[in-house]
Amino acid sequence: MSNDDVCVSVRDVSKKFSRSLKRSFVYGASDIGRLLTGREADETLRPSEFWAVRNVSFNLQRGKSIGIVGLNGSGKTTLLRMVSGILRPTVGEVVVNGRIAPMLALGAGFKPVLSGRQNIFLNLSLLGVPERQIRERFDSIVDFAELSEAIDAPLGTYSSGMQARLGFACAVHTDPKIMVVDEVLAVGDTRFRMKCRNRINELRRDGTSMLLVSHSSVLIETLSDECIYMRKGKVVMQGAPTRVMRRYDADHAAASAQRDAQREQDLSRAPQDGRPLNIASVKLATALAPDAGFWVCGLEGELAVNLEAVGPVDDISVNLMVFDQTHQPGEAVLFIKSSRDQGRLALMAGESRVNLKLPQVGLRPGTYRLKVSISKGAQHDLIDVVDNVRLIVRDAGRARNNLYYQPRDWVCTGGLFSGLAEAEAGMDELDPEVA
Amino acid sequence: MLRSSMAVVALAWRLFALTISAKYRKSFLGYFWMVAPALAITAGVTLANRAGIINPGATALPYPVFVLLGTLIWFVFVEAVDVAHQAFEGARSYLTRVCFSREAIILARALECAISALVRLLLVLFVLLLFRGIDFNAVAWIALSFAGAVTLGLGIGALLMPFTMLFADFHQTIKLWLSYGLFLTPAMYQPATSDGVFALLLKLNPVWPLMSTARDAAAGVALSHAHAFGTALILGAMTTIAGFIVIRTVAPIVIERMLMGGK
Repeated sequence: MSNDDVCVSVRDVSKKFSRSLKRSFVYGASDIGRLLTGREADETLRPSEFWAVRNVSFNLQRGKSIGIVGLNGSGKTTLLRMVSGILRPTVGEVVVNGRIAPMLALGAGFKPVLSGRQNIFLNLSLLGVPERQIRERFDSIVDFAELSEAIDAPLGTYSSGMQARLGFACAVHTDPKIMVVDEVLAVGDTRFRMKCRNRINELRRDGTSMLLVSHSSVLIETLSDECIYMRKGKVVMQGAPTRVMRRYDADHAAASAQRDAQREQDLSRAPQDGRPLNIASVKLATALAPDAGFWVCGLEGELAVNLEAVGPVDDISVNLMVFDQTHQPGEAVLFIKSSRDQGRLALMAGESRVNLKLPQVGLRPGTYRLKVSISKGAQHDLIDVVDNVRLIVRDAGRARNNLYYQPRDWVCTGGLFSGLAEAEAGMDELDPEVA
Repeated sequence: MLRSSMAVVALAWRLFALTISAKYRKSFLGYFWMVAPALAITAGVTLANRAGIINPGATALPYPVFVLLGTLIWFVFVEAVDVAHQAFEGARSYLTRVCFSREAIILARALECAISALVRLLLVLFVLLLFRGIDFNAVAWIALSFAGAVTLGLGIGALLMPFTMLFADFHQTIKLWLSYGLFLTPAMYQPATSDGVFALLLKLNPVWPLMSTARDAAAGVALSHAHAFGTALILGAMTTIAGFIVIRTVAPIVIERMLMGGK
């Protein structure tokens, strides 16, 4: 591993910012003064300052890719900006060997009043491509962006999708040694996204290195050779993607679990006056434990809803909504209605129970929020709702690198499977209670 | 070093060409606006003079020409001072997202300013031609005065820019002083040689020798402030070089604050 192979070297880099806008201007003036008079920069924290990035070091080798994960505010974008040369580190240094194509800057410099053609020249000039090369690549860029008809029209007349495509087409034609990608891996419709993805893969095969920042663990695990997990500006863990993502997911689940613990989970409720039907309690069960309080991805899971009816009721539907809190917070991933699956429910007076059985839980490991409701009638008038039920789906190693667990069977005619399932890397880090 | 300087100039030229193209697309009258304010002031002041309201003192040139020359030089200077600041403000959206030679955008804007100065210069030469004829010597001195105004403004603006970007109040103050400056500088009158605050301000004002030289050359008389003129030109060149060096050094600090101030 010679020094020539390292294209980005980040050495013990730290960066501080000021929280107060006005103070930051004053500090800026003071920093300018220090810089111009040749004095050392102030490396201590002045009032209202904080470390956005602290003591980060890593090397990016040619042809490799490093993924950076972390919550919002963990310093990822600041780190990328320092690597791209936009910001100077407060402490430490960044050494870059080769041209960087910052995807942070899709469409940088685009002026709506100029034509697409002129904007290509503008954008690529800013990104450092000599004019001769821009002319050589012009047709390829326009083809890639699929904008040959509109290329001479003002950019302001383009739709946002067209502008994004043009920006991306320019970025991938800068012939970069290093790609810095901040969440924007592909824009446009499915077909174009595929083109973008293929082009990036092509660049990678040609030896372009990549620094990738994403919330999507699927993307990080599949695209990066090494992963860095940052929290509050510091590196928490650095190494093989699977291992680091596991820690990231675990920390995440722990964090949201802590938040939820503060919220009272009142699962047993007294019947309210005037309501014909109440949800008495909601329980989560696995095959091994009737009151487990969690599910396991890929294994059997059950939701038990205990109901209390004042008198006989009919035309009832029991509904379940599941919201993701780990990977895409707030995203509704399931909406199941008993009326759709089993028709309308008729209940007798007194206690009854509805069990929703999932032969194999498809939800990927993480934390979810459940909303259980009962409704009546064709318009689904709500009778009772239990919200904010915390559901943790634990990992038994069945949904590695997957968005969800897919039950499946393999059959081959004309050949034979050995039948010996292979263990995947990282199987030893599964949740020991359930794997 | 030379290669990177050439790259900066090449980028500046491209930015300039595209910006001019963008500006031209938007307006019909284009270059007219570069000279309209000075023409309006000249017309107004001349009328006031004819009506006996303003007494500007004895001038070697016809009064309208006198005023036109003075105000145009002042406006060229004022526009040049704002070049560095406007360049960074205008590039806010991509300064914080791409790393490139920042001097290029300032250079591009400076080129725009130079074009504007050229248009104004041509107007003045044309007017002089009409009023009293002109010789090559005079053209050279007047052109040099305009060039001096550009470099002086550019340099001062570049040195101030990091602080005007950081402190909006400072920027406003500078703009206010520059607009008062039209009256504090002898753009529209001949200064009487006297003592006191006014004379001191005049002595310190680097634009005054530029105006004075241009007017003397236009009138065909000997230059009254040749020494100060030379000083002003050298000052312009030095402040411009220093300004670019300062900007190159402190740009990251300014850009960080731009990030905070919103994209």
